Amino acid sequence: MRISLAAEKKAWTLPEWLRYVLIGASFIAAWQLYVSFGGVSQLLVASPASTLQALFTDTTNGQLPGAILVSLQNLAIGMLIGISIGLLLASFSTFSRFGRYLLTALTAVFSPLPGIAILPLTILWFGLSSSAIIFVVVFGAIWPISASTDTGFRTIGTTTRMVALNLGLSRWQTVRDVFLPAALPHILSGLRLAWAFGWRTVVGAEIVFGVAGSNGGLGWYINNARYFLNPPAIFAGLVVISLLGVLLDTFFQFIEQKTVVKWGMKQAQ
Amino acid sequence: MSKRYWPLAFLLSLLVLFVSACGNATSASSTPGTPASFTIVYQPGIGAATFVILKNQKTLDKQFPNTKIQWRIVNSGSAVREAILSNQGQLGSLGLPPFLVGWDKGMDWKVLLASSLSDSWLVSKNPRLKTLKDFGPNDKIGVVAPDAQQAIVLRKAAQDQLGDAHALDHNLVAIGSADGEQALQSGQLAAQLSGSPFQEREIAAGGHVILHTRDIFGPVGAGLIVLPQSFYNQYPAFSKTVYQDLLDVTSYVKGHHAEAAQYLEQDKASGGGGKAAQFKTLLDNPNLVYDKTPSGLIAYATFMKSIGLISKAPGSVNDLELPTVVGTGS
Amino acid sequence: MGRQDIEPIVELSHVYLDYHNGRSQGTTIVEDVNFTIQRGEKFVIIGPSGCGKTTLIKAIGGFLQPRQGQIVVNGAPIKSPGPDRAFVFQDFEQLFAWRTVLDNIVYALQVTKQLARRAAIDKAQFYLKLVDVAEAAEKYPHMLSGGMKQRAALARALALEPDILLMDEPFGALDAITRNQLQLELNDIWQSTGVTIVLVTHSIQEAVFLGHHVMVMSSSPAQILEIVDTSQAQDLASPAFVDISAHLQSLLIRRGRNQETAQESAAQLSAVE
Repeated sequence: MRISLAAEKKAWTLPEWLRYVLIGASFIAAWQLYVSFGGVSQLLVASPASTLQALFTDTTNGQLPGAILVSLQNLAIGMLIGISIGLLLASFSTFSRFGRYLLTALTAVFSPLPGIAILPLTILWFGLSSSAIIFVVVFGAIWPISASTDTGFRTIGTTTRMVALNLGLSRWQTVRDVFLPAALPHILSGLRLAWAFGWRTVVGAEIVFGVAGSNGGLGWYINNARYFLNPPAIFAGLVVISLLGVLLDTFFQFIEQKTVVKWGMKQAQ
Repeated sequence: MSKRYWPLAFLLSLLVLFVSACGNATSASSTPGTPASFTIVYQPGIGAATFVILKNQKTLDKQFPNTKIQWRIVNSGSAVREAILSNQGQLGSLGLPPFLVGWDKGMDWKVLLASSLSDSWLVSKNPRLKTLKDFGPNDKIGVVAPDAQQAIVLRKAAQDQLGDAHALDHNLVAIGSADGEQALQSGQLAAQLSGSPFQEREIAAGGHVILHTRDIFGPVGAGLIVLPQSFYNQYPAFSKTVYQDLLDVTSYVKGHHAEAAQYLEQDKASGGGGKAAQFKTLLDNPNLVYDKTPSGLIAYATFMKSIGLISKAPGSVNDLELPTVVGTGS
Repeated sequence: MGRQDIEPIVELSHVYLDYHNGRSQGTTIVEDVNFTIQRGEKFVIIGPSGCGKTTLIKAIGGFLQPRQGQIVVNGAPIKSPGPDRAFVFQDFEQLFAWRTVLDNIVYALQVTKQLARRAAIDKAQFYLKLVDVAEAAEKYPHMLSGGMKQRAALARALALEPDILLMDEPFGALDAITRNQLQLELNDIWQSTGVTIVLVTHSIQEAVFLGHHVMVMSSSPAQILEIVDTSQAQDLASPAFVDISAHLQSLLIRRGRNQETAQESAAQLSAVE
């Protein structure tokens, strides 16, 4: 009787990173094929090669780095303010009945509004300055953060609360040392979401905003490329926007790894 | 390749082939020598007079019953360019710079004829701003697009008066004429460089003129009416008829200011929301010159190449012209 | 056996406790209880499920106020929870998940006794050793077994050097072997520290083994059925142990509706025999 060795020899499967690389490479190949042979004008769809070229050109001449800095700055300032307000609102909601009604009402009315929708309003209020963009980012960030923080606070177990009481902690100590870490899985989810929204909002607002001549961020960069009929630059801008979005999300994944996953409070994703 | 991946590869190639089949050729109508549809793309303002009348009198519709004549209003020269690039329009009306940018990047459009030349004013309501030197980093100037004629003129003025073509680049804000007028009124913009009827209204509301565009490049740079060379080659008789119609309607406008003004008021989208009386005043103004001969192309191209906005300048103005006006202009 | 002072540390007089569960009108869950707990003793409260013993120990802990009556600790009526009455819950998640075991105790010490970090670490390590969980000091709670978690929680409570150690079914969720182990260790710890312990359980064996006094409660609305002196019943095999267990069982079965308690104690009795 012959024993088959096939059962023992494990089939070699593609390592995961290689899978992603192959998918990405075939996508780029298909893209290049389409542009080369699909009969589409290069003024409508840029090829991967010319996109790469535009990336290189505009990075070395400083346009892209400048635009990236402006967008990230708008995002960072907006997020900082939005996170603070969101946390404050959530704390208010947790500790006061009126605060809870307030948060519920405000969230119901405002959270469905996309940030870009209020841009015309903010331009009226703040003028054609980056404050208008920052306000829009703030607006977009408050709701996911306050909602998730509030949920985080509410789902803190009674035992945890009792331990805090048992230790005789003051209100402030309780919030800082117990509630915030206990609610961290929810807060981090909210933060991750808010940053994702914020990034999309910043770029969108910059496009709508259209500061013509000066360095106005990645949204402006793309818009400017449009005016000067530079699709490779448009594509390059899109690539950068996407990459930065991925980087931001990865950053949050990293934070989650170092905190809530390490503490066993959340499944790793 | 493993068996599992065959369907995927097959689908992918189907996709590529299908999408590539969406070609760019204009299809012909049942009448030989005429296209199935013809779309004219123009911008709002006083310069829309000829198109409004052409539209209302249905001249083209009568001449070419088997061609669907369409009209589109967009907000900037770049938008006109995009419409033609994506085959959503054939005839476009726009300023010199967006045309030159398109030509520089390889679009095959050429000038069918020039339209009109008028003077644009840099208007401000702020008494502090009397010359370009007075503009600080926070004084925003509204132009319809960063590559619009006004924006290029501004850069030439910056070069002449401030020594650096890009000196005011950080001040520029791309904003449509109507929105820009609002923004100027509310103080969001320090100044705007647009066109009629917007600038006249701004003056009436208390603004003052900082510079006139005709002072920068001279009395050149009439707006262009352009058509892709490939379209002209495919439908030469049709194109020549359109050319003649435009000449005729321009004569009409020159001789019938009141009627033209009336048309512009009624067609709010094309007119920009002005009153017939306002339009008549503008049409009466000797500053508004109708000229079918393109002018300023070489001057603008040379300047734009010098500041890096385009990569090449035409050898002669004929390179940019269709047979209708070739051999003329500058 | 440990020292027993005559002076009471906890006195309850005519205490009525209500259970609210979200509604404004509560139901009385504990009715007119009066008893005292001696300083340094191990006082066990036993009763059928849902009889209010947890509510009672929480009231001693200060987590709720009696509708009527007084709870006096160390001569003063209590108003709120505090580290002088350190609690060990049944819940495995009572340690802060975001701190290591050592850090949990260090934090508790820093915040209740304002100890400097070094001093807090030393004290924390002492108690971790006492409870035999020192090797888990640098681990996060989620990495520990149930038994280790409860030990660590006990270490934290002891580190506070409280007047009273309150324990609400601390070993209830553990397997029988670990449970027995921890009962023995608790006894040893009491020997070393002499802290007053109030413990709630529904295990007769645990009550008799651990307690100096066992207070038997009826089902809700709970009243005290009897307080049994079990200080003589230390040895599991001794006749005193068997007699007292049987007595407790009869009390619980007569008034209690919880058949499981009865069956469990019957099983334990037969195991002992």
